[in-house]
Amino acid sequence: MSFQTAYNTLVSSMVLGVIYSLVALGYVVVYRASRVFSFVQPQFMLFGAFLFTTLRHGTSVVSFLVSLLVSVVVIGALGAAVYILVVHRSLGQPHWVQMVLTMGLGIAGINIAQLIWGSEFRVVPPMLEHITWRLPGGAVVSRSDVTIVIMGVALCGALYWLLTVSPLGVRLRATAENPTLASYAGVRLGVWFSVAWAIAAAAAVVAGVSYSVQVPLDPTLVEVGLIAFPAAMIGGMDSIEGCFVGALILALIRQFSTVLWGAEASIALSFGAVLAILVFRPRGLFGAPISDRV
Amino acid sequence: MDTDTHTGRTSNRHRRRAAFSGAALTLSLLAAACGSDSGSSDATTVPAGTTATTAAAAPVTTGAAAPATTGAAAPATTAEPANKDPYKIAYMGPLSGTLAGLGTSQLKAITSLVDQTNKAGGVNGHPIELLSEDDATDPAKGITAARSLIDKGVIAIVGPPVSSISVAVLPTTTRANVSIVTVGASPDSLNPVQKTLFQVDQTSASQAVPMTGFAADLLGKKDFKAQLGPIDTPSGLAWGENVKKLAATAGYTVLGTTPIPVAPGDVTALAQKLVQGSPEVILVEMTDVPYVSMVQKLRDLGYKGPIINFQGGSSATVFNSLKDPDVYGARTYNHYDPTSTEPGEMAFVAAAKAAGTEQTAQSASLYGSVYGAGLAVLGAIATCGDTCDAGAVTDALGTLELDTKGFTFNPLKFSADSHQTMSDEVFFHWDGSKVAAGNDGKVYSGDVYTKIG
Repeated sequence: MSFQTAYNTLVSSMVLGVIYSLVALGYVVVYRASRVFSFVQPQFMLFGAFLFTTLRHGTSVVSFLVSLLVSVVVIGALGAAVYILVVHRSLGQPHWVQMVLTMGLGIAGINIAQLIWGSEFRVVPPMLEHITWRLPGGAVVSRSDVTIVIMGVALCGALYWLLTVSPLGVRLRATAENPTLASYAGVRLGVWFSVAWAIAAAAAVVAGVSYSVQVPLDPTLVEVGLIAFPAAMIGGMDSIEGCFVGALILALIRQFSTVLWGAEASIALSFGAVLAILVFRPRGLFGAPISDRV
Repeated sequence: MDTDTHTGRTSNRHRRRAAFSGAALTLSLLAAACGSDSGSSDATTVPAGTTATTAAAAPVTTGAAAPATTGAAAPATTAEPANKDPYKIAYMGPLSGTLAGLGTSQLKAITSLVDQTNKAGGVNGHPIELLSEDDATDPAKGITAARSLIDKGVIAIVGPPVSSISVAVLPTTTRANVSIVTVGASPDSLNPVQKTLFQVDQTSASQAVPMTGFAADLLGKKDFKAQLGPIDTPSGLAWGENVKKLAATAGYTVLGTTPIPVAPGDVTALAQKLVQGSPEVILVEMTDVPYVSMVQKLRDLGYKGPIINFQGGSSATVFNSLKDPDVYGARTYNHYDPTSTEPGEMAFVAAAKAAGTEQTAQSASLYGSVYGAGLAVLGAIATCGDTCDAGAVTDALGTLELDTKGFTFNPLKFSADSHQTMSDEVFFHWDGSKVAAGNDGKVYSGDVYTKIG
């Protein structure tokens, strides 16, 4: 592999890593709050991106931002609704019940999206006119890439603050760590869990729109959401910062292995990395130690 | 397996039946396309805007001015509403899973043709009943689906579009003498000819000759340097091998081959492989969705040469989105063109409009291929007589010659030596203002029976 190719691959991995991290963040937020592996996260991505294309008219920046904002709000509300109407009703059941519920919702979600928006692909014009820059050393980066990285890093930073430092984050953490105690203290579990689901869905919308600017939008977008799941496993299912690092590692593995050995090798190696993590460090790189209280 | 899963616009159920009449069909479609009323004339038995012949029979013609004639194997129908038992045909393809978009768009295409046909009276006085089954791109499910359709009495199956599935279900359908008319047979399954397998459209593998021939014409030399991006299917990889084999005699150099998954997601890394070695042309086989992003990435990486794609990724939406004159895509039929005055193309447009699938017809490259496969099936049914069963349809397909009147670049034709048709290609691109044929519309040919190397 030439230096030029390696450099370009590194840069493209950063962009892909940011998108993965936004999806993975959703898995982590939901897991931290409610200990549920939410496999409906990719569908929030899909619905958000499709809704965005429906709302967006024209090519202006204002149209882009307004459509994105409305999509984030609507799909965020949908995330909360999914929790309240479906997942909340299985509280107290084993976690695998909730996991299977989200899988079922996910499968139904793809078909619902196809019924609403059809199966034709849609080209999503970028927020600003497509131009590219050559970085020192020769790597090429587009304005969309830069926008995605800046927006993604800012959003991840904001969510990190929101979920770990802010009063909301403290409540969410308290709720997750000891739901019984939290409810005795007057914390309304359903409200805080649904807030977590809303945040996760909102992050997925940003990821979905970001990805759709790069690749035409069609229902296969959900695969990206599933591919991002290993990022959360690598970083640690309960670690915000871990999912960011995990996403970057995953993107590096996928991009470099594709260039070196082809697309199929990249999938095998990505899940190979997850396997290794599960065997040698089940909590992920940044996850809290797994302990059972007796 | 549920047979009532398709998403046709006009009905949630798969069974479609109505009445048919040949000339009335043609005239009504032409009228619809032209926006004018028309009268009816004597009957014909083949789909709109087409002329069918069989080797043993006199021609069966349609068209506003063409008198209807039939031979012994192709009885004419009348313009009366169809009131006989329906002919059951089926579409089988991926209606769920990763390739659901491909399958549902194809189902829409065949549904539009059947609806159009039924609205005008059916075939030989029989309505056409369209069933559908989901193979989920899974060979095992495909076999189950094929068995289910055979049990329901279908006389021909359109699909499946993925070669591994069509190969898997072939023994099952062959035992029942039910023909598969597909857009996705593998070269190995077509050569030597198998009685019940028919390919309408190019295969991925058989486009080595036309694509490299077009590249040489485009570059104005035979000793060019090319990078290859075959779609990662058996047929696609065979195309890559064929292009490499041809290089020895044709004089060009293949710098490298990068297999591209059917749904690759982010293509940045793949694009980087394709620009290695400074190619003069990049030949790829990519479906519409990833092709758009691939072209964008290749341009971002500084590649300025022509990019040539196969017929599976050459929809109007691709060219209209990219607006890049150096991006080409092969077409084996005239894509959705409302301005066309060709009867076959007008019928295609009218069917899509009536079904409300204009958008799909423009954005899914293989939409029209399946419409063509449907034309072949209905053409065969038209020629096989009033009591048409699966065996008779298979026999009729084996000697079919159907003039599509401008929908395709050559007649749909099968023979004892060739079960592949619709294999002539024209390469289209964005000419600066619209999607247009490149190289003055020169037709490039090649099929699985063309000897390579």
